[in-house]
Amino acid sequence: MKSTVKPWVIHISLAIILAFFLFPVFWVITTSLKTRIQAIAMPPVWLFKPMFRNYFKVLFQSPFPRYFANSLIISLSAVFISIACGTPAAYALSRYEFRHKQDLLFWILSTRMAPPIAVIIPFFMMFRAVHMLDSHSALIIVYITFNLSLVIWLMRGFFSELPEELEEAALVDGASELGVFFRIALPLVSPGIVATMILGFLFSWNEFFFALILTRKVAQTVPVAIAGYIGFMGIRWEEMTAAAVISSLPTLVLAIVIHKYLLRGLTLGAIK
Amino acid sequence: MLPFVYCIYNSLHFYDLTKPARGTPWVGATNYSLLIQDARFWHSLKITFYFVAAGVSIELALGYVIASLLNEVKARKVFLPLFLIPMIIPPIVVGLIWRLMYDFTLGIINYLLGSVGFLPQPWLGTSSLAMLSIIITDVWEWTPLMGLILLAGLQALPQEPYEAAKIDGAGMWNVLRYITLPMLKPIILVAVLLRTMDAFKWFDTIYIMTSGGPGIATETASLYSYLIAFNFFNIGKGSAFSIIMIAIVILFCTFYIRMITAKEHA
Repeated sequence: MKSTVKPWVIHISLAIILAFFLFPVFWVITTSLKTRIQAIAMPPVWLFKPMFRNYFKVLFQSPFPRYFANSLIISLSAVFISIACGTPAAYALSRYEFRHKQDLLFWILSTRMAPPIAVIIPFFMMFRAVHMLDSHSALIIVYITFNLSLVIWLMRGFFSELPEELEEAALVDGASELGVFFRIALPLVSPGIVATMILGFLFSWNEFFFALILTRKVAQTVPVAIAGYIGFMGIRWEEMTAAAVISSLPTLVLAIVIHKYLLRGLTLGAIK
Repeated sequence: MLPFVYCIYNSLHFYDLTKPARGTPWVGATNYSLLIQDARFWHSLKITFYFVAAGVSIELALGYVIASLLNEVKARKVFLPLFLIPMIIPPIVVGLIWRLMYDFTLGIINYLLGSVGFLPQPWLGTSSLAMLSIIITDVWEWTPLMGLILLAGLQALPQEPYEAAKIDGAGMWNVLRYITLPMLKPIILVAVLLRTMDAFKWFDTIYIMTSGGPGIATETASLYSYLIAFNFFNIGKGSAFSIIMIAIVILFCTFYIRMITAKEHA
């Protein structure tokens, strides 16, 4: 509905709201480009010569690259395994009818709704019993559990949008059911697969709670390392902010690429 | 399923990682009664309830404003990706950013307030302000999501009722009250449900900003249950807490869904 308010009023109010949401981002980026003195100057320095020494320090003179490697290994493994297991499951759930299907779907969804503390205590005790605390595989296993529910819910939605006639036609032409899945359905949902993988990567990369509890040194991920730095070295704002920007960048770029699907992912397919 | 059963099992036993000598004897409902007598437990539930209620309602109102503004403009495609930024940034980084800005002596917020004549405020330093600061941060992080969901809803609405209303000469307020909101209701309910669940388990940002402080002023249920299980290493009591939290979530969902369906039949 077109309201009677003038368009420029709407644009300006949007710009003001947007400024509120973007100012903190602007502030953290500028802080990361300042020297320590400028970063804690009061009144704040608005005009300064940006320098990238903080980024250099974080990337080459700190343990951060190792945390980045950990985060990458863990997130990527979790995403690939969940996509490999979850996509066929999602296809089955969208195409075949079987008993207790709704219960199963709800059960998968409940892994998202459960308070994390209820999930982590059993996991912690189990990993402790088999001496897997602070290992990459422990975190990968936990991330697979919540990525799987994401993959199944989202991919089920993508599969349901395909016209069934295509697959039926292929079956009539003599393709096997497996052949239909691999040669017809899978290629058609490939944009969905990419979007789902990016979303899964985003959630795993940003995840903090499980990583905090399950890792100490060896498998520490970026969010845990950042949190640790705050307590450990006092706050060196200029370096902290540089680390923060670096750690936000990969997901930010990926998410903006798939922003059409982002809403769907964040609501587990409830809204398209 | 197995983790859940194991959790119930743990919650009925004495299980303290710092006292391995005492083993893990069966203690029945002792862990639950310990929690019920724990004033800090009730406090954390109260704080959580307060936080969720305030946060989600502000997000809903502000999100609706953003959605209806975005719905009016053609440049939506330019604005949209920018609005996504707060919810894509890792929550830990969000906490870090706001801690930097809330800082008493060096923070930009106190500076900006000072430049228009306000006294600097200890944003994260006093019990009365810390909760407000936490809520502001949550609103910053998640209002865009609310806005996007509502925008998706607004764009899916049929145009006919609006044309009819226009012919009948309905005012903007009446159109909102009698046409937009009723048609948008299903989507609003989904959005509120999603945000409530997420706010209920919110942990990362609070952990970074205040760790529940000052004192226990911002200690939510998810934070206190974490402390019991992984700082005091009382697995039994922590498990009992997590079972209670699951019960709250299930109760809330059931009532909520019943409320939705009941209203539809009425």
